[in-house]
Amino acid sequence: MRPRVHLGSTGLLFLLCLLLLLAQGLVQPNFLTYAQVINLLKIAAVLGILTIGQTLVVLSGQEGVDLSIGAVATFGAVLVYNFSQGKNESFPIALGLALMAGLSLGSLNGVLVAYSRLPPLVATLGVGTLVQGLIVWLGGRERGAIPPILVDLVSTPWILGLPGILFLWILLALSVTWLLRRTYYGKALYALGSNRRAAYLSGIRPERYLIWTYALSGFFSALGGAILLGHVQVMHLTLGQAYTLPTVVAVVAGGTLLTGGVGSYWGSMAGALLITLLQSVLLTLRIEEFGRQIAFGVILLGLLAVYGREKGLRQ
Amino acid sequence: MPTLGKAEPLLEVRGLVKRFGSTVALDGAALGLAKGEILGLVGANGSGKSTLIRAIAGIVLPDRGEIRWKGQAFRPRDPGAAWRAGIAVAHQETSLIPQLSLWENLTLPHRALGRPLPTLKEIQDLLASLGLGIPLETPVSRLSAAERQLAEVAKALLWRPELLILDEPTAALDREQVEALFSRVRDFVRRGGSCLFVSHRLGEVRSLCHRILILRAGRVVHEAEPTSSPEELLAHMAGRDVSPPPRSHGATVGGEVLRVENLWAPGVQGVSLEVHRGEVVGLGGLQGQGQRELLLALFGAIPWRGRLWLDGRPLFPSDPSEALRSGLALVSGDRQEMAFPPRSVEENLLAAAWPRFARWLGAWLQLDQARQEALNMAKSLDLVYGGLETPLANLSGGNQQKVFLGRALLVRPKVLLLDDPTVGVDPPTRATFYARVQELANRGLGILLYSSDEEELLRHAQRVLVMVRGQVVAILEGEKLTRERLLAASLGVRNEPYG
Amino acid sequence: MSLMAKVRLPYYTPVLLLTGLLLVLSEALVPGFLEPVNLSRFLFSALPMIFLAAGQTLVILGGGIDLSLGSLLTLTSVTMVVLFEKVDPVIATLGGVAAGAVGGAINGLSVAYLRLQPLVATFATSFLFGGVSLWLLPQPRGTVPQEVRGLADPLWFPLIPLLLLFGGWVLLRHTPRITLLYAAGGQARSAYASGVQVTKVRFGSYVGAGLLAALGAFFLLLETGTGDPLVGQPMLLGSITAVVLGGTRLSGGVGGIEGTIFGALLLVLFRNLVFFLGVPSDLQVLAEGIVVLLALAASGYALRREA
Repeated sequence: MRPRVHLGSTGLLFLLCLLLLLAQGLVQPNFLTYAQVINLLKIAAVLGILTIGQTLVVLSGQEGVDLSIGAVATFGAVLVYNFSQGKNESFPIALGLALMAGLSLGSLNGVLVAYSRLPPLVATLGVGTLVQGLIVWLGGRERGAIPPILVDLVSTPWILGLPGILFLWILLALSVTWLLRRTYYGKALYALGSNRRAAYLSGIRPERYLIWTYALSGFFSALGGAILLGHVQVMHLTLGQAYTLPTVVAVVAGGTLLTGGVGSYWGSMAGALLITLLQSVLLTLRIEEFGRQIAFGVILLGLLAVYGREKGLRQ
Repeated sequence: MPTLGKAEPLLEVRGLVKRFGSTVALDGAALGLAKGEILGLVGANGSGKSTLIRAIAGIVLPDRGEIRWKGQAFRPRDPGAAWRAGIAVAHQETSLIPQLSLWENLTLPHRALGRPLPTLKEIQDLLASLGLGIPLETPVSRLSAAERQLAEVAKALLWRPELLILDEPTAALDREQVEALFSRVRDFVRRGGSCLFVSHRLGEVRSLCHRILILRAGRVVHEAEPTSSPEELLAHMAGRDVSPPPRSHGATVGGEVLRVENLWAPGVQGVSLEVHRGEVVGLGGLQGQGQRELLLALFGAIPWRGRLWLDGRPLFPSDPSEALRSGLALVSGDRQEMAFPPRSVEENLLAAAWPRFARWLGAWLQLDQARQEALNMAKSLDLVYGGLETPLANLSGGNQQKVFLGRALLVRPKVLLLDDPTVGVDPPTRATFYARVQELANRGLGILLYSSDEEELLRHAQRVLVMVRGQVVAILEGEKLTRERLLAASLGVRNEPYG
Repeated sequence: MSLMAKVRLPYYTPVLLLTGLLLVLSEALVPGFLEPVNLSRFLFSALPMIFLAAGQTLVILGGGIDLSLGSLLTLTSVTMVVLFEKVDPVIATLGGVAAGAVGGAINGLSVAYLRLQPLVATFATSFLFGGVSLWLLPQPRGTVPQEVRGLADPLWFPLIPLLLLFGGWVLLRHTPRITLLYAAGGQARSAYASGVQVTKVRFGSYVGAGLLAALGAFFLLLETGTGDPLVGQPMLLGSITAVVLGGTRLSGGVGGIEGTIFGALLLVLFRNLVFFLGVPSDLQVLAEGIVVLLALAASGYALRREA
């Protein structure tokens, strides 16, 4: 069966982003300043980093989706906030703790998906709710603070007025691409995603790589949460919540098939950029929260209609 | 087209063509069935039988061609149209819902299409005549394979159709059940019905049908009388002449490379065998007698008990990963479980071989080296393709099978397990495939080959183990390896009641 | 094979026993729980979840899943609240029910006819419905008219919808429509080959779910008396858990609304228990999350072993 071809190459997607940017500039003439573009890129970077995990999970196939990303990100931020107490010396440990937590929670997702017949969406939804409980429990107790070094790393400009987060994003993108193309894990992931049975018969143990995938998703979500904290510089208990759906849309828009086995992180990056630009356009057009929600719902449906239709019963 | 006498045929099929991706399932199939006739349709695996049935049943939409029912063009938009027209099908893969009860299943078409339900008496009488004495509330999931097959037929009969289509209805049945089924079918036809009987069990087809059509590579190639010999029918099914084929010259056989003792698995009942280096050992017998399960068990893909030695070392492959690492590789003819369709030819070739190219515990793969080996492999397999980057889905079925062979070879195995690797593949590609296999044997590989095509076994294997119901009932080699003995052993005494 | 299968007990036996157990436990730990006043209040508070989960059951029986039901409940409740201010209460209620049907139809169209992947498609529509809810009612406000709320005054009130739902299902369970639903969910390919119009059946299940969600919204409004644009989303996971606890398989074709009713009761009982035992509020969410996860995991694991 011919695989559905995705929206041309990733390059086309980036082109689309450029067009949208220009369109934005037309609608709002004093928009296209260097500072504004940098700001947009910063926001896209946060989404982009949170989309790393989602990309891996969707690639793993069989309707893999991680709906706990927002919650795990928030939890990571909570841990950094509470355990660093705003001190730079405690930051590394706090961050380490957050990453370990992300890894563990992700592994929980992985175990559920690998060993029970629960659809990943339901499993991760359940774990996400559990993490919400953890957030409420842990977050409501102590008061913490944001360590300055985190803000320095993320928000303060490094070179050419470009803040650290952008460099972090590029670094992570390169790492993820290396992971997908140059490591055994990457080959196993793509194999699992395109035909789980064939992957099994080719000597890949599905359970192991599934658990790893969801664990990594949790890891990058927690990392993303810490970075998000350094970006907005305010802590609250629903910090990461609004990012979950956009990561799914970014992955699908970027050309990664929901059935798995096809796609790349560069596509998700373009997808993240696209969404950020779209959100910006919607904001400019004074569309409020409700409109944005509706817009995203409709956009996701539209993307699914193009990319993700299932086989009919009639052949 | 066969002459049908005065009346117009009840069912007519003309020039039906159907493609699934790169596979051509039907290539201009045509037939005519008269009212009151029991027409037999025989063909090997992959000949297009099921696709043809499913096109008539409204499940598959043909690309080209025409079906005529009672003289009018018949284009069922969905299976309901076929049922309503008076065509009832008992499918090979039963169309029963496991979670529902027997009664709910038997009456499903009536409920779906708004027809009055058959009376309880009618159902019970029918079931009794088929030898199916099960309470109607039993969920179908608890029925045995034989019971399910009979239930599938009962469901079709309960509809009181004009045309009854039976697709391989006897695979799981014993002699008595087959006789009971046949007498019901004859009864049905006597009362004005017609029947299309699809099977690869030649004895049964010859005893039940008025006329036999042979399907090969998606078209009807021959029409025969029921009095034709099985050999003649087989020859037309396989597409070769009736004279014995030239035997490929076996290489000198070396030491024992694989030894299996008392292997038990679902479908395998205590099989023991040895394979030597340079030897091609065949697994023969009718389809579904455990050959596939044996190979899967050896590969660790299904649970099994028993003892295994590879190159003298005891081994217990509990999953394919272990099997591959130890030197056992499997190539299956079922592309659904082998192919990574959107991935490139290169990726498909290397899918199992990456551990050989992995450094730093898998954190670094030597992509260039791997690519070179993949390129060499493609060349040595005479692969017809558009370059390593081509998606696998663009290759023909036969070439895809070559890729899977290449995948197995890139792990440098000691023993090659071949599970009907060339089913549905065109003859020229088949030839290159087996030429390569023979080369591998010459180079010292041990090969265990299952083929649903008896000719292939006769041609390529030095020794054939014939399996019936999960057991090895005969070992044929040398002079004793002839088509007649193979057929006789396959048909067995218990299994096949006729011929 | 499990004992239950051998003796042919109904599929919802385990959840029924568990619910009974928890009822007894509730009475023991919180004396007076089983008194008519308290019992009535408890049942009344469980009605929204019961109806929402019943809707989810229909969809899951048909082989699908609906992640937008929480938002759909929100949407229908908001619609009703907004309409209560403008028109006759009966029309307002019918308007809400109609909204539920429309939402369900959108889901059905996406999943059954367009063949979009059900999980992500209903995930997308949940944002669609949520957005519309926000648009209709940006802030929690509005009052349910007194004559409507007054319906809930009698102690025996909760029993009516419960019995109607339970009884209705028992009566309808073996009608062709519902049998076709089980067939489509049990094995769609086989059902299709047997003449079942799987697409239509699935579409119907989504619309039915929307209608039941609307009823759930109605009961929620009776209880809270005011509109809230964010009320439904947290109930979603609970609806799935209730279905799973009740013995309906996520893969489709097995189970039914009876079990779901007990599953929902079980969930609400547990929530109540946690509350009355004085578990601190910041741990309540966690406690429920753990239980939900355990229930899902157990059902998922059981499914795997049976397959």
